[in-house]
Amino acid sequence: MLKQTLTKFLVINGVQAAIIVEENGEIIESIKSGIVIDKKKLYSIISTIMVDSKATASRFGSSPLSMVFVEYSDNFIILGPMAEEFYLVIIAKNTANIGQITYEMKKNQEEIVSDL
Amino acid sequence: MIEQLPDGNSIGWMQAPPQWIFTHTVRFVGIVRIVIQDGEGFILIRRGKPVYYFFKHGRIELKGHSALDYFNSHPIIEFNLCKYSPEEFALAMKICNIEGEDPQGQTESPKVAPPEPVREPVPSTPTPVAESEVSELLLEEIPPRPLFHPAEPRVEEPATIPQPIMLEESDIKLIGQIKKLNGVVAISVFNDERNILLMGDVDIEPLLNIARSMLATSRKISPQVEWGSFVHMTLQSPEGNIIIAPYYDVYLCLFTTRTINIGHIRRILRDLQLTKRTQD
Repeated sequence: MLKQTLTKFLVINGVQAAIIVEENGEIIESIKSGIVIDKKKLYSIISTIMVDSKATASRFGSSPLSMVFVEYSDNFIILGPMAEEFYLVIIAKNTANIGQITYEMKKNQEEIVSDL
Repeated sequence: MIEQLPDGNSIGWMQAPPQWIFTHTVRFVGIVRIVIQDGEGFILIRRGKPVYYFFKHGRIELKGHSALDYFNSHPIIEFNLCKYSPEEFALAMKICNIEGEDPQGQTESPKVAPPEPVREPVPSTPTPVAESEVSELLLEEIPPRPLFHPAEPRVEEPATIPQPIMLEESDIKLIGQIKKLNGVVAISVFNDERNILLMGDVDIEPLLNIARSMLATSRKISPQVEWGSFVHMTLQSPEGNIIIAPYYDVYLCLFTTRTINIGHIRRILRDLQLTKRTQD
């Protein structure tokens, strides 16, 4: 079920991967298209972003982390909380529409949470 | 006097150490309008050379070194760089009673009083200017004295003296334009050592700590991804967004409201990097 829901993101132009991770960086489910990333590397990247960003956000008032967005000249990665301890990570080409992706993240949040 | 001066073309309000003004105005001709608490003042600058300092707080007026000392007694001041045309500069010189000066610097400068080698500690509030200090009004050849001394070297680390980072007038203008975007609360230019420039009404230290923390994260993940050069990192929270992006050898940090158009900011940051690559 979760994989099916994640497939909705791959339909978006430029999206190459949709991944559900736990707070510790462990990958729960992932779906990829047109991208090859070493699993260890991916785990390392996601856990670094997640751990560091949560720590950074805690210094930013008492606010929880809403979303992290890291862009490079070719690709970008978005990480957003879905439910307590669970995050959705999207990897996309830089040509992808960020607004559309974040909209779909919010729109599918409930469904993802129910699939978890 | 301040009201009589030409407005000039505002480049934007910013916050920085007073020393920053002197190291970043090499090609600037105009007025630096300064606001400290309830008082206001200005520095007339012609291509990096301050020619007149003035500060007014209530009925108290400081001129020359007294005004400069007062500016330097603040680690950070808020100011607005306003460009002058040659005519405006000439008018400002006239209003400040500086005669015999050609705004283009083609005529001989009037004699100036040499800087005093040692000064008494600056009071925390402005003091009235003495009659004898009127001669200090023409400060063209007097270089500003450094505000900060290098920190005492720690035993375990060699002392380093930060080198001035040169931002061009065009950079300041560009950063000012970004600051003016709807939803941008503050923008800072920073590096690993310090804040170089701040535009916006925020407390710089917490912002800088967050920005540096984000920079550290980006440095950890950049070697692991093969996605080209780092463009920006954005951290969203209900309090707002913090965005960091490389800018030449330094970094920009934007603090924005939650409702800002991230796509717009993203395009600007990407364009900045493309421009940079073209220039390289």
